[in-house]
Amino acid sequence: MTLNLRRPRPSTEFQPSIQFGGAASDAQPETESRNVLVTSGIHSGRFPISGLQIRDARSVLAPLVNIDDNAVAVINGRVVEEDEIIAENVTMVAFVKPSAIKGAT
Amino acid sequence: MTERIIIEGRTARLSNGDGTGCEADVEAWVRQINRFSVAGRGVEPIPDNVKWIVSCGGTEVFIVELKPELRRILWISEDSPAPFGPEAKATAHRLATPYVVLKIPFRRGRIVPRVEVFYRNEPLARIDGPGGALYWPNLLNVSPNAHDCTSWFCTQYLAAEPIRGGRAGALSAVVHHLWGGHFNRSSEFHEGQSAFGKAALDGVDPRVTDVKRWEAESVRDPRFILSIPWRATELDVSKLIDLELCAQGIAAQAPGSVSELANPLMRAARPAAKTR
Repeated sequence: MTLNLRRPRPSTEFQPSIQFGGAASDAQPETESRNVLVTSGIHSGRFPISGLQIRDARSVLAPLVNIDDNAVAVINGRVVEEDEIIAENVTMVAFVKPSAIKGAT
Repeated sequence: MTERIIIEGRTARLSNGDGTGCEADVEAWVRQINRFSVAGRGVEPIPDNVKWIVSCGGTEVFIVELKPELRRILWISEDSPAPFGPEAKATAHRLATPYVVLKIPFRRGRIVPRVEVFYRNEPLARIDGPGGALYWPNLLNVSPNAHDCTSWFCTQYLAAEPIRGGRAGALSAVVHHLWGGHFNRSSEFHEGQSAFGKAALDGVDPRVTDVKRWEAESVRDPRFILSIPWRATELDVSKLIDLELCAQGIAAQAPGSVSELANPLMRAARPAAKTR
């Protein structure tokens, strides 16, 4: 897969997104660490999506990590809009699908 | 001289035809057969974040580990007009979670409503012992010691979700149900307690027993969540799997007697042999 990367605009909107743990099994080679961790349900992977708008990242990644059309993009615990550009210091984007009500009613 | 294996009760006897031979417990023998049989060629690839898949007949138990994350979580509002159900109101919070371990059982390809949720401050390293030890979470909608589970997560309304994509699709549905649906006070009402309430009763760190404080600490430094001394359950992954197999009527790890070997033999029997 080839992704056309855009130069990211400097962003002060987000702090570096959080991937914590840092155990040996989480360690990534340097090239991998430049990629953004993307999660969607059970799926996860690292992809070079810095500089893309969320909608473009979604379009490219939807078939790869099964992103639902209704899923919202979350960076650092906040929902971000589709035209938001994924800044260079963002390390993780989660696509979360709104789900059915929890518990019995 | 013909080699023969004779199975009687729980013992298998090998005769080499020259007067030599040996005998073994049937279960130990079957374990050896399993050990030297090719395994793991499932139809579907193993989904991301799956740590163990234990299967027996139509039963499968998936152990999933989700990495620490600063999440957006919808939590019941203080002024919610209802404690749960469609009238309940929720507010979005930014909450850090540690490693989250899920047990998701299947029976004949369908999720069994015995999903369980646990926490850890480190990734799983072993199936048993400290490396596989499981800790209580601090989440609403997780019910302690309910429905013959230790840390039960209600998946009743997963049936309302369209689930596609085999096991990966079903596992995704559970993960989305956990993080994409509102957390409410259903467990308090229906099972008497939630793991969130239990954490407060157990005197767990106050930074994670009040949702506003939990959020403030998460935003300040989400790594704090990995320093919380979560209360240990009495389970590790191995015991959790054993309990699930037992709940699904699987008492032994391998067939250990003639009668337990008879069913698979009948399933494998050639049509001509069946008529004899």
